[in-house]
Amino acid sequence: MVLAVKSSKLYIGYELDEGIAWVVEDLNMSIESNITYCLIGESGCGKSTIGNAIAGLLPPYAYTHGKLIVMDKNVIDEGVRRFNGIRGKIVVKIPQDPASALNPYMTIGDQLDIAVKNYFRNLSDREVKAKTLELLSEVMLDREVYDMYPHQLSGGMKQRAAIALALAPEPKIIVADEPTSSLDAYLKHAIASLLKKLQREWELTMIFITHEIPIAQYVCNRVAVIYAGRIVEEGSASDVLQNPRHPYVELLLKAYPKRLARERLTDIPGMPPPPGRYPQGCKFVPRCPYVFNRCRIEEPPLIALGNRLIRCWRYYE
Amino acid sequence: MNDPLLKIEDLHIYYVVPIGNLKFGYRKVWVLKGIDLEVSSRTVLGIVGGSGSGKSTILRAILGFVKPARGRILYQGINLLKLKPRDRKKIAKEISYVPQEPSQSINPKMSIEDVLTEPLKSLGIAKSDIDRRIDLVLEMLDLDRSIRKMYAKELSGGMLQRIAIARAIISKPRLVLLDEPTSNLDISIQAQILNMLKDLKEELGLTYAFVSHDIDVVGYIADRIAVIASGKIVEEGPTEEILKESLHPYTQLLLNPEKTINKTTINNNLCPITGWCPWKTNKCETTSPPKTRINNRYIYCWRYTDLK
Amino acid sequence: MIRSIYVVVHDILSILSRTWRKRYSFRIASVAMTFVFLLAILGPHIAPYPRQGLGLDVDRSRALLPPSPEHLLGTDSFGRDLLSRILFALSRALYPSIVVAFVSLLLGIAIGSTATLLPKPIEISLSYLIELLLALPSVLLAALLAILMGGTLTSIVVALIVTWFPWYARIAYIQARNLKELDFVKLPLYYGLSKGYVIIKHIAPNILAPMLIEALSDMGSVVLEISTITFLFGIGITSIEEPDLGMMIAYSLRDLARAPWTFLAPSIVLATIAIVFTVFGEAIYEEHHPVLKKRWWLWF
Repeated sequence: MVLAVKSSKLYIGYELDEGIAWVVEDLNMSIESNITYCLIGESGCGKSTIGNAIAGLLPPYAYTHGKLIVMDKNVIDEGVRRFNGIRGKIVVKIPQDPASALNPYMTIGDQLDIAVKNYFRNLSDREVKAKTLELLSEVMLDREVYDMYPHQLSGGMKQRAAIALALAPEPKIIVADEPTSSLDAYLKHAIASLLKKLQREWELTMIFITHEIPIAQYVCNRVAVIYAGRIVEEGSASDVLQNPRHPYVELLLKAYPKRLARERLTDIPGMPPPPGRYPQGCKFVPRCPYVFNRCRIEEPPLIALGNRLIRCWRYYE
Repeated sequence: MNDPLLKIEDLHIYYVVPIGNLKFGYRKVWVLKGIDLEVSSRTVLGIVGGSGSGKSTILRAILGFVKPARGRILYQGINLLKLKPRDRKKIAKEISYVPQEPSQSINPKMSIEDVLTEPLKSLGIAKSDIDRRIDLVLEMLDLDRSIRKMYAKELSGGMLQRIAIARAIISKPRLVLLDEPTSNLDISIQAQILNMLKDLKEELGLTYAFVSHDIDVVGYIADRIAVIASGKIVEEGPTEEILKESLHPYTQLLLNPEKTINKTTINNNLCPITGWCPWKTNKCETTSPPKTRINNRYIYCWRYTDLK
Repeated sequence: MIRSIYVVVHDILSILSRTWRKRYSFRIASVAMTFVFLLAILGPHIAPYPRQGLGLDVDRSRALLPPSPEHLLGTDSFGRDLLSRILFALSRALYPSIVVAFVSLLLGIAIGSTATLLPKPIEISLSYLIELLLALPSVLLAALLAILMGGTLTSIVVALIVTWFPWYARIAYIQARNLKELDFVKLPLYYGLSKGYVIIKHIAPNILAPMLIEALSDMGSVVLEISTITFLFGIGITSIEEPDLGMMIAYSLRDLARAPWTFLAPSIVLATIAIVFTVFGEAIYEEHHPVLKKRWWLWF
């Protein structure tokens, strides 16, 4: 089993007025290749930061500790980040807002041509265009889109164009940061299934970041739920999302309105802790219905429970 | 209640868009193309649609933020579009609004106390009464008194949205218009807010017009659902019926997106889904389907009109 | 009303303190600025030769002396102590510029923010008027007004206000126009509250803080403009005895070779004022606008 991404004691923080706020702490993550791996969490939990770290898109003013290995290359080693040859070529990112991936002043065709030409320098112009048209058909866009500008496309089409742009270098890993969040209900599934199809056909590792559990269920093989910058439960999608063990995941699933059920929704009282100012002990203590003493003092480690990893004292023997 | 609290008739709204950088003039883009809706007192009407369908525009037209080209909006029988200025204040007391984005609907430079006082300013209420009401709504929305002195930029999205709801109910309205109040919130906070909205409706005897793009959120809180696409209502009826056995293909698309993943074009024709409708006939492309009533439900589809 | 003022003051203080913590250039500039203000206020009282400073005492026998322990900056062509002259000139330069900067600011904000709430035709005419006024060159306008009003300091101040306020008016107008689309402005209008209330409670507090700081920074440019006008036209003063930086520089050109200190002293002072005020504003602008902050050079 080849590991596409492996992190070991990874810390990521940003500079704030009062010092460094560590958003991600002690992250030990292993992602196999050729699967769709979901990072699930709510806003502010750090999942986008992890995605940016893997894609090599952390801003220069971010601070890091620990190690991150992508495709056997040490891209993050303590404070040093080396993504040459990896960023944009082996790992690409699809941003949440498709408009920010597309240059509004160029046609889709021109942008894709430039991307293709950049990575395959030996091709003639005609071959480049052929490759571009092939990419467009892979993401189910018509030939006419080649000559259109981003503002002429609908949200779903823009997102597909952004995906085509990401596929231009024939990457091995795609980090999709909330690709369906800004789309309408019926488009979410369309784009999600497109990404799944691409993952299978191109044998990619798809790191799918989302806060929408139904989409994660639809698309992912394995799932890691992130809370306060750390993994709280990790395992296969069917295990974690249908039989959750961690209290946060359990409550999160119950917070979704179920069709035709009119009983009261379970809400999780309180709010997630702000990044960089996590309390002592288990970070979920203020909101957990099963809290006991040990939870307040010490943070539980990530331990194995059957086929999954879980971070909760209730399962510690 | 026989007469509906709010009745919208044949609402048409457009906005102007310059063609080719103002070189060739303007053209009209029709956002709403003939909307008929009714909301009965003490019920919740849920309006579901995709982005650009016009659902938020319906609420903004009721408030007077946009002017319709045609149609009437009747509140307790009074046409809101022909109101005299001095009656506007009275209506503003009875119809309130919870917008989608709390950071844009609450002035970040105002204290919460001022935010909540504002709706009552022009109603001539005594200061001590205002004070009492503020305490009351804060309690109803599970907010601590100390929040009164805080400023909007210090609070999170979930709390701000609760303040927006508090502001909407402080004038003791009858009708509350909610524009995607939970769409920008995390799922755990959305659950909190939805529960609160349900409780408030019961306690205060409110009527809601609830707009959302999520049919399950609407299904949880609404008594009747209206589905809108491309400026037209396609189906409308009691929540349970629509969720269990929807008739219109677009509603089915919203309910089961994974079964209909290839149908993603919504067009501006007379019937919004002629691009992919399995029962499309020539008539669908030339004439707009009329409102057909089937038991307790209304549907806009030639197939059902012809079946009768 | 008082709460709005409190909010604006709080905003300004937080912008200032954040920039202070982050940038050395800002710290130097603000210390220098405070020093300039102090000198302007205390100047006339600490000048070693106050009567010469005001130009009342003239001693041609001591004309054009180089800097010495008695006259730290030397003397000018009339034998007046240069240091005292400059100290008096400072306050004479700064007070009018405060008036110009802040009166233009208030006028600009008042016109710009009300313009958005007025009926469409008036709004459009006002915006065209603002654009028109922006095109006028301040120095020439000052000269014109001097002819009309008699070349006094007041005429310069009025001319500068007329050419400066459109700058603020345009910024205020654009900001107010954006704010008008937001729900927290539409809602009070829906409740039936007056447009004046909306402007004071909602629009103004959201645009005031950065504009106040900009006005403070612009003072440097205003001092420069006033000095330019007095330098070129010799208006704005009632007699050549009055101390004015522009005039001092103008007169020093005659004896430039013989007594360069008569030129250097006032010029350096003027340049320093302009630079210090501008750096103050620039540092805040960079800190306030997220695109430029966060050590942008690291991206290259």
